[in-house]
Amino acid sequence: MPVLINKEVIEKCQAGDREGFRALFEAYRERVYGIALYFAGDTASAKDVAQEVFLKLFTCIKQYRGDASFDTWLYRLVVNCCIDERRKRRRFLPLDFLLGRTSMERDAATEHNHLRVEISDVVQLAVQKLKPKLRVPIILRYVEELSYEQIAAVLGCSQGTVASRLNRAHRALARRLGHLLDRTASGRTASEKSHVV
Amino acid sequence: MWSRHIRRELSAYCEGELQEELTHRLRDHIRICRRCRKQHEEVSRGVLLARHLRRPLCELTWGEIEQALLNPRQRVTPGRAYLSLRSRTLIATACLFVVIGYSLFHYFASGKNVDLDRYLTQVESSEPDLARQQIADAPPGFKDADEYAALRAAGIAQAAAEPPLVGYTLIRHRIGNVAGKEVSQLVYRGSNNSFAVFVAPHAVPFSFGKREIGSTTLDGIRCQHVSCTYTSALVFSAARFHCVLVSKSKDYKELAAIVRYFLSAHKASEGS
Repeated sequence: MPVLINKEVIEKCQAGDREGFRALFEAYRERVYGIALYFAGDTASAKDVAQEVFLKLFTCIKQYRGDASFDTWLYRLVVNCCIDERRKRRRFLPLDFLLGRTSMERDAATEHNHLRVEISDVVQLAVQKLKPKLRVPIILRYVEELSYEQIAAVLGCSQGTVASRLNRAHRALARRLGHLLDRTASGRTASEKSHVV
Repeated sequence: MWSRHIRRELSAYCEGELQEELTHRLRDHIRICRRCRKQHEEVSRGVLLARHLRRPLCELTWGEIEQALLNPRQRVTPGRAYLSLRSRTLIATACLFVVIGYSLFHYFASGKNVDLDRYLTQVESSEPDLARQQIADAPPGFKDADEYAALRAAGIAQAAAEPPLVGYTLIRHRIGNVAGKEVSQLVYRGSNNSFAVFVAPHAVPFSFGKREIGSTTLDGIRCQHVSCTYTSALVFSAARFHCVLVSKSKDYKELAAIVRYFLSAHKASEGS
């Protein structure tokens, strides 16, 4: 059940009320974690980023003046945190290759092996491989279901720029995973035929 | 008619984000422009794929956040294993040292071994020393230089006439200089292997540096074994001569046959 966030809750948080923070956390945790997971690629990093976002949110919420929508302000904070985290970790070499693949990749590979490819998992992986500049609008558009106008407000750019980036991202996805649509289409045709027979 | 290409607006068009008038104009353009139609197909596929994205289930709990709030420096989640830039540099340096160390070790270790191939190549490319060498002073144990030279010539003649192993031929015999001393060198080559025998009077000692030398019995023949990694080196004595056999072969029967051949050849030449 989503918790509604109104001005009062935000004011409570600005006053340092713990229950207010909790309400805010419950209301936004899935959105924040969702963006972080798509951006970071694995659950551990996503949890780190989401945690960082909420800690930042609780310490910086006094800076929110109410000029823009709270959602937009928060999304901007999340995107900035994700980019900061990525910048920090670029200086480090992940040891996944020693420990094995990430859980998401492993799941996708297992499913692929069992010929039960979930398109959503493969698309998730493909989105993670997009450049951050293209990845963020895609996540905000399809995971958070924001409009072009809202995405532009979060990213601080024009709607034309958002449209252009989404265009490039869509084409990149189509080039990488277009074959999946053909396969599902042919699979569907085959199953329809079998039903007819 | 819409004449401008519409690449930027294609995503918004596919998702119905454009105003109605603009949507109509774009539809008309796509109908007549092949390039934009192709791109539209591609973007439509991308949109279809992107619509499969869904929000994942959140694994973060309020308890973890509370804990992090109480202790901001400590991260609740274990995180991924990472190597810092400094650690990476250290590991790379360590790897470099290991590689350099291994190369140096290999270089020096192989340098201690008798490089028979290289030796044989050198011997083959050099002129054979068939002329009888004038020796001013006879080595101790010989009456005079002539006796020493005669024995040496007889030994070489026999070695050339009848090789110690079937399939081998004497490819070079020459008076070489080993550590400033005159030594007869006989080089045999077969189809798969080669070996060299150095023959010198007892008065001309062989030196093997710091190599370990142990006594061994080869098919009933007492001889000394010089430690070499890739080659077999055996020292054996016959009357007034002693010899060193250097071979890449580790087949002890083959080595024993060569040693026996030289021992009997020496006995025969001494007898004559």
